Amino acid sequence: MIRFEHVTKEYANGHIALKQVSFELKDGEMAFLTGHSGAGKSTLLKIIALLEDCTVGKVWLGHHAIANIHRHTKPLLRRRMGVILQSPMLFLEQTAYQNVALPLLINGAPTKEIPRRVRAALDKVGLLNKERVLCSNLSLGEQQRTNIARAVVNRPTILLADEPTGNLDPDLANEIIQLFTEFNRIGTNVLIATHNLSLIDESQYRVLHLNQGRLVSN
Amino acid sequence: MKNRGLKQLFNILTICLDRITQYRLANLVTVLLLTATLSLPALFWLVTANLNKLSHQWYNSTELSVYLKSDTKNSDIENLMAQLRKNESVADSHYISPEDGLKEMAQQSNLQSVLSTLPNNPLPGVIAIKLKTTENLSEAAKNLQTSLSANPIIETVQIDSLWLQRLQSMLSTLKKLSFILGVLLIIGGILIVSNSIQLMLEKHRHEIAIYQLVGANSLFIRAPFLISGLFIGLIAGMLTWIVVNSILIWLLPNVDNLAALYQTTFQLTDFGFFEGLILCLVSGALGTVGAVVASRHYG
Repeated sequence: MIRFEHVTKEYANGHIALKQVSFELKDGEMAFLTGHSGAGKSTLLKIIALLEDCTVGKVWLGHHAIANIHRHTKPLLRRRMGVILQSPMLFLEQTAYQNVALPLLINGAPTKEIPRRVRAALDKVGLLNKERVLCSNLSLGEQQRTNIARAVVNRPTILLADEPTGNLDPDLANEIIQLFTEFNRIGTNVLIATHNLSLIDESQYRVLHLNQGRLVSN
Repeated sequence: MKNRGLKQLFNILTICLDRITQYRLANLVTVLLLTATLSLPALFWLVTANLNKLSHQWYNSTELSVYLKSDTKNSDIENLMAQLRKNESVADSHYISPEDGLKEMAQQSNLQSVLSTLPNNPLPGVIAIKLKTTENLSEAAKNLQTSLSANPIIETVQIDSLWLQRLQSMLSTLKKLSFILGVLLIIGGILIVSNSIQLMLEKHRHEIAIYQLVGANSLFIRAPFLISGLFIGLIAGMLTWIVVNSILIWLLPNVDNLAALYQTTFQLTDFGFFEGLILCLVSGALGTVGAVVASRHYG
């Protein structure tokens, strides 16, 4: 469960990214987050991913109020999330396989299990044949898919995606959304920020619309 | 759990070695800067330690010169010598007659021709007393001076180590100064490593963001930087040890020459294995503290 209670986020330069945002995403629910550029979608996702703090209000992750989470506990909670940011956050000098294996290594997954799980994740995003290719040699779309594979390899309970289909062709975009819905079916909370209205129109999922930091429709 | 910890440690060490070799030049500059910073207090400490040793060596050979009155009879001198031989604080004593004193003075000063023109010998008889080495040598010398001064055949008693006491007082000030200098340079060392690690952190900002994103804990993120700081410190410590001992080896012929001129058997104290080990540990600790300071935001 993810719950926002009157959340406001103001940056040090005075820019207010979120204003009094309140909503709740129940356990196992999937939703889309829409809005223009600068509407606050990325900030909202980063707050859930514990990468940023809110200025005012309360955010709940399950039974944890984010403000009360100890800094040493934050990484442990983050391991239970899959986060896909807008810009592919990858080690470009490493292979797709090494990048996807990273969360498993950090989580101390059994060594024997790592290759199987990494290949399964790469297979799901259609990159199994490129596991040994350096990320710097992958196209932007392929890098984004590597990013997605890394986010799902740890079987997260919350999946947060910021424009995950931005660099993908429509067919592939649909496949990725399909992948997210599969995760949702097994109980994962999924929140996808996107501009791609066609993706939203085709789905039956809830849509949260942000406009200049305010949640205007839910 | 144990395997998981070992695996994490292995991953951290791999990242750390990769990072150190990746920025060879930057790390080398930091190591050299830290070496220069550590060499100064280390040399200062060595100079102080050697001067201290030298002053103790001289202090332990404290002598008293007892100047006798000119009309002293030989029997009185013999009585006094017998008393001194019985005294427990006296290691050795010998009488220098006015004639012997004049001869010695003529030999040492090259003033033989001038001295030969004197109508009579102006020098008094002197008894040179060497004291036994004790912890309270200064006190023992003063006690003996007081007791001898009461003797009517004695003109004056002079302790020959007053200048050494002044030197020791100066050394004590020097020790305090070297301590202050050491503390200041240690802070400087921490800042040098901290600045270097800060630059390293800046260069790895993107990498750190990825680690944070996938749930790496602060130990995983900071450890490579802390270990890098430790390595930089240890290498700088070893280099300082080599530099300081090299300087000592370079100075050795001059010191030996000086010691020979003063007819002493002084040997320079250098940084031996134990001191070198302490130097490396201190330097390693400095590097680690610098890295802790630089990476505190990721703690």
